[in-house]
Amino acid sequence: MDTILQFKNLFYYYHSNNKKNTLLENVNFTFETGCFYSILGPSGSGKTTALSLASGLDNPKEGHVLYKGKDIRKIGLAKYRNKYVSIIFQSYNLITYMTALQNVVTAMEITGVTINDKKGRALELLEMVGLSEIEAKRKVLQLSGGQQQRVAIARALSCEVDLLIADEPTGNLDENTSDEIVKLFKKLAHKENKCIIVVTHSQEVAKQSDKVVYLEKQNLVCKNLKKN
Amino acid sequence: MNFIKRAFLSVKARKGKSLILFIVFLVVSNLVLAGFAIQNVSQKANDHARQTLGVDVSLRMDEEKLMENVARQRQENPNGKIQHPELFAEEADQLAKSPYVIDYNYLKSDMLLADDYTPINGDKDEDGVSGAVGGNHSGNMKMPNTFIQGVRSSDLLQEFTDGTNEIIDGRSIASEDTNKKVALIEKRLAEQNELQVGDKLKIKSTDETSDVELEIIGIYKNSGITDFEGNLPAMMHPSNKIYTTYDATKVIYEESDKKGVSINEAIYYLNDPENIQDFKADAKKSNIDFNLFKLDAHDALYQKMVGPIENIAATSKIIVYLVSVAGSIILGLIIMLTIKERRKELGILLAIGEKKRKLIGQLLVEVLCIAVLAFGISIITGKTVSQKMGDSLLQQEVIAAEDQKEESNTLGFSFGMMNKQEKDVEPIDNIDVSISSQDVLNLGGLGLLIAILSTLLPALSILRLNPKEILLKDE
Repeated sequence: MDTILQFKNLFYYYHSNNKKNTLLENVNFTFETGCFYSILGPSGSGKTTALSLASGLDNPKEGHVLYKGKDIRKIGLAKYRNKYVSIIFQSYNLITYMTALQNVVTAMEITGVTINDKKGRALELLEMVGLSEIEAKRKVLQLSGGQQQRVAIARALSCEVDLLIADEPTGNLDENTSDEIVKLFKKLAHKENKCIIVVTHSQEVAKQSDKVVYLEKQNLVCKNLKKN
Repeated sequence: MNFIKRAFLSVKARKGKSLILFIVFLVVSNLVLAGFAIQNVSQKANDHARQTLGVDVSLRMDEEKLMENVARQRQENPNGKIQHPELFAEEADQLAKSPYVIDYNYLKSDMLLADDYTPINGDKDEDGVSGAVGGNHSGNMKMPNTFIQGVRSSDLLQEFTDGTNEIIDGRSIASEDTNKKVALIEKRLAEQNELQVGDKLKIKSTDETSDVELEIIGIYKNSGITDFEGNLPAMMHPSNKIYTTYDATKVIYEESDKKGVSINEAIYYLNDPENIQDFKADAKKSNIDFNLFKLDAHDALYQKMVGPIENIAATSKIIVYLVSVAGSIILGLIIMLTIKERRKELGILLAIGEKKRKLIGQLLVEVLCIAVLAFGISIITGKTVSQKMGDSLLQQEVIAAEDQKEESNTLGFSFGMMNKQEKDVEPIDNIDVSISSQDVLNLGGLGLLIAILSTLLPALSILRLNPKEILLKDE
């Protein structure tokens, strides 16, 4: 397995009422390809901050986020998000005036996916996450929360990147769908050698991941979780 | 080019917002187009007025300035003789040399007495009046019965060009006749006195101290004489009007000792109405005293004709400015609100890796496609809107002009045989507004500018957008 993402001497803090609140302190952690990670931690521990740093939505106060050894600031955050990472948000973040299919195709167009039949590939991915063609052609607001989350996952998968970061991706899904999505993540990690990082509260999801990372005392700590 | 596709999807999906933008653009483009069209009409009206009024420019005494001059003389020297400024043909010749002048005429007129013939209705007149009349004349003066008009060329006179007077025998007075004592007389006068071409007639001054004998070279017929005018006393009867050379009048006025021939008015006929202003500008360089004389291209009539239209053109110009500015502000505010509403969508696109300039491009395409649709429709509706707007504005201006005319109207009286070089015109009170391709181009240019400015300025806020703040704050 190769190193894909690295937090190096990473610090993140913010000031509130003249008080410095540190969320991440001197974090050094390496994520590898072919591995499915879950990040666990209590609310407010900095999970979302870690996710936003990993996905290029924010810059660390100190230290570096390296993608395949290169500082993502040097790559350019917009280019990094465009070419190297896909993000799945807890609140789906779909474009509401588009259909599910259009959301996926739009992401493929923006990220410059070279497949000719983008529509066909998008339908394939939507089917893979459990949406029929009829549902795929519905406006996203006409879909249930679970269905919208699946669209968000299909959109992330469509971008053909090696690093996929998800914030509570199964939070709004029923048990069966959640299980299917987790299986899909595992398959992507193991069969397609991608790196999947999932921020979750779910022990079930964590149990199925390859590595469980805890956010403890402003740092990431890798722990083994007993699997069923 | 996916941002263009997104723009079309967005316009289609946001029907309400798109409709509001469309209505604003439609109103703006109709008003702007109407403004441009009305300004065009004004230009056409100017051309029409110039064509109607002709290409003649008169050089004559400025009455207002003369009054001021006389008043000043009286103030400076209450007992002194008032000096009346004179215009000499030799001075007026300077302007005739202008490259814009294709022909010119000199006019000199006065009321005189028939000597060896009987004027029309001459037998009805009183024998005469005694006493001093006028500034320079004193002693016994008789009531004049002949109007004499000294000219350089009779063919150039208004009454001959419009067909009121027509040469029926002989020939007209031409520039070659300068220095000759020749005359054109009216048919009725000729018939009454059995005068023919080649005969001579004598005219004398009202104080009977000087006279001149003129050879009749032509007989004209005045077709404008009505029964009313036919009964006028000799002094006012149009048939008693005799045309001669401006030079011949010198004898009667006993001006032979003067340095040149004084005239009342010089009329220059230009090659193009567009050259009037240039001609006037060039004329200022001559040694004619423009503190006392003026060049008049029927300026008052021109103003009367096109004044209302020029006013509405000015109003329409203001409308174009106001609508453009107000329209841009309104559109800008709508787009600003739209951007605020769409922050999340923009954040999502940024999170996927879309470039900020493409987001601005998407907004611009959205606005432009609505604007283009509105502009297209305004080309169809623009003519009706322009016509209605133009009619309404013009009507107000014409009414205002009439009110003003009534206020300033003074009682006037003109003699039937007086100089008819001055015309009368009615203000242009109807316009035919049409949309030209130039108007459409102007609208397109201005509309594009409005659309781009009203989109780009609010869209600059996109440059400050941070996807993390937009998306993760909503989590």
